[in-house]
Amino acid sequence: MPTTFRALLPLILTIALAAAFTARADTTDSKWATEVVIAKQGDHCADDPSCMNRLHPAIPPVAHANPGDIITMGTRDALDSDLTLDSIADDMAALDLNLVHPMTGPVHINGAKRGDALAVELLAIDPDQYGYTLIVPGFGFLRDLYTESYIVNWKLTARGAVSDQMPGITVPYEAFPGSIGVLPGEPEVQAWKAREAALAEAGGIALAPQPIGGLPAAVCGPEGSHAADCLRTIPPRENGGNMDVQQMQVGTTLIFPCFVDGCGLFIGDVHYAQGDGEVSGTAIEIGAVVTVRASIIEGGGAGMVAPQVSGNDEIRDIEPTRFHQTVGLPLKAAGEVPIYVTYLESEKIGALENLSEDLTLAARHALIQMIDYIQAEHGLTREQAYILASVAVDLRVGQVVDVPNYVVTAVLNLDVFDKYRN
Amino acid sequence: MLLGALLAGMLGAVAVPAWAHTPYRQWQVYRQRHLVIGASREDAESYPKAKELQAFLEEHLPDASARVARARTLQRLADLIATDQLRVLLLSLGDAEALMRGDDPFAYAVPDLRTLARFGDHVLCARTEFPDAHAWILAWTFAEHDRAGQPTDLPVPVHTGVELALAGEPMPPLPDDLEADASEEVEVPHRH
Repeated sequence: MPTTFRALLPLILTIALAAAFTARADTTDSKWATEVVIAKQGDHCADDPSCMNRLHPAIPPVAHANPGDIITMGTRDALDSDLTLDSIADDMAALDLNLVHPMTGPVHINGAKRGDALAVELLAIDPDQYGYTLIVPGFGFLRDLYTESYIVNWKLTARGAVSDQMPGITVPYEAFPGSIGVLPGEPEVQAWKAREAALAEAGGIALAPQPIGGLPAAVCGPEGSHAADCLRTIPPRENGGNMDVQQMQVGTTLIFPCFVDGCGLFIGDVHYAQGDGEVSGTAIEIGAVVTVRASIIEGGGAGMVAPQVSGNDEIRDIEPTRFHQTVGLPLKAAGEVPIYVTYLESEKIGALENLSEDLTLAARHALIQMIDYIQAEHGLTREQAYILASVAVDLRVGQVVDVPNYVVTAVLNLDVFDKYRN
Repeated sequence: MLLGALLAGMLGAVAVPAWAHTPYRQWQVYRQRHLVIGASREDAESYPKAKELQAFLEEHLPDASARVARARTLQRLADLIATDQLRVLLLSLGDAEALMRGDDPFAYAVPDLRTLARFGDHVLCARTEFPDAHAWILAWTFAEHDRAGQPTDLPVPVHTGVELALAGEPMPPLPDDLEADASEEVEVPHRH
């Protein structure tokens, strides 16, 4: 062996080994699908060119993906907040509600056309380490009974959510995107805007476009090209959006009618866990990394009215192994006008103790009983009980035939109590 | 209960015209049914001072139902008051002037910012649209209990309602939509 070669041998071996491990270190480098990664940038949606908080077909895509590509999106919490583990109730009243909800996207799915449907398979959700649940004054199902701010800060792991403010409780990890959908087309924007304006005119709760805080600013901000037409993300609509349906778990496939070419897929507002109803107005709200895969159903949107979901055992997997259930009927005190019907200005409702075929009143009846039960049986405060109900109590329709008393039940997942678990 | 009844009327009644500017009308109602004082983490003194002010108002103007909102940044306070999501801020003298002018750390100006009261190096501020009657009631209460310093030589002009109160003028009329809440048996307070 030449002297020169012998001298260089260690260096050659080092380079060779490095090259080998760089090229085939482990399974990481063995790929079979194209990955489209949209990572979060900056602290808030306004800092992130891949983030929007309004809906309009003129919002340009932040990425393109082919059907079958693995699409990974970094998402933000529902309020685009700066809440942290040490946040207190006084921090809540300083939240800027014009920033709700930051969505990651839209992603243009190559080949999709208006009139098609988009099937979105939820592959994975990787949660942040912090989440929060709020009682927001003036908001939530029992907003007339809970009028003060309250916050629970959660520490999150893949096993469950725990909080110093909720001792003895571990909420199982059952994450899903609270908001997921596709962009509306121009006809949908005009139709939805008109119907919501009519509702607002009648005194109902509907939110007109709000350019202040609207993103992307070039389209939806005060000087934006479509400032007056960018829809708020708060109500879910036929394009999906803020549906808050906990059965949309990893493994399920969500199907959306496409209203624009490319569909314009967006995701955000991930919930670490939520009860059916999300009664306080918030779930365990988190940022997360969400991975999905999309496919096109040609012409599939034609027969669709709204999103649909298909799955296998995902619903079974989030069911409690033990539970307590209350039964709600459409009953109330004489003289009480439930807050959700005040805009109808009915003179009949106040005097009645029993309303007819009223699921909302039955749900309220069941929920109030459940909160009473949680306080009496498990020693939580009324605020803690309301928070727990928001993240671990399911409001369920029992029946809609036995007039006048339709039934809604409230089902508490008793698995959340550490005392029942090993 | 003269002040109490007036404040009860003052709260919440302007929700309807303002709600279109906010995403959650219900939350807007809350923010107007309470006298929510905005403070900021960036100004560490502002939050404890705002809490002291809340305690004072709970004692002397309980129907104001005072609350404190603690924003993470000063800019957030600007965003909230500029979009009618908050109506009253507690700012340092320097921050108040900067907000009125749009100087650093603020991204834009709120030129119609006005002083409601001075507390040492801080001022309670609102925009000119904050009703004169409400400003008058606050100023009258602070003065009656020697709670605030004289609002003189301030970088931010004094609110008209405060000027009237400190000049001994009677309380300005309530906004039209509040008149129904101020019953005839309520006496309008005069500063002695």
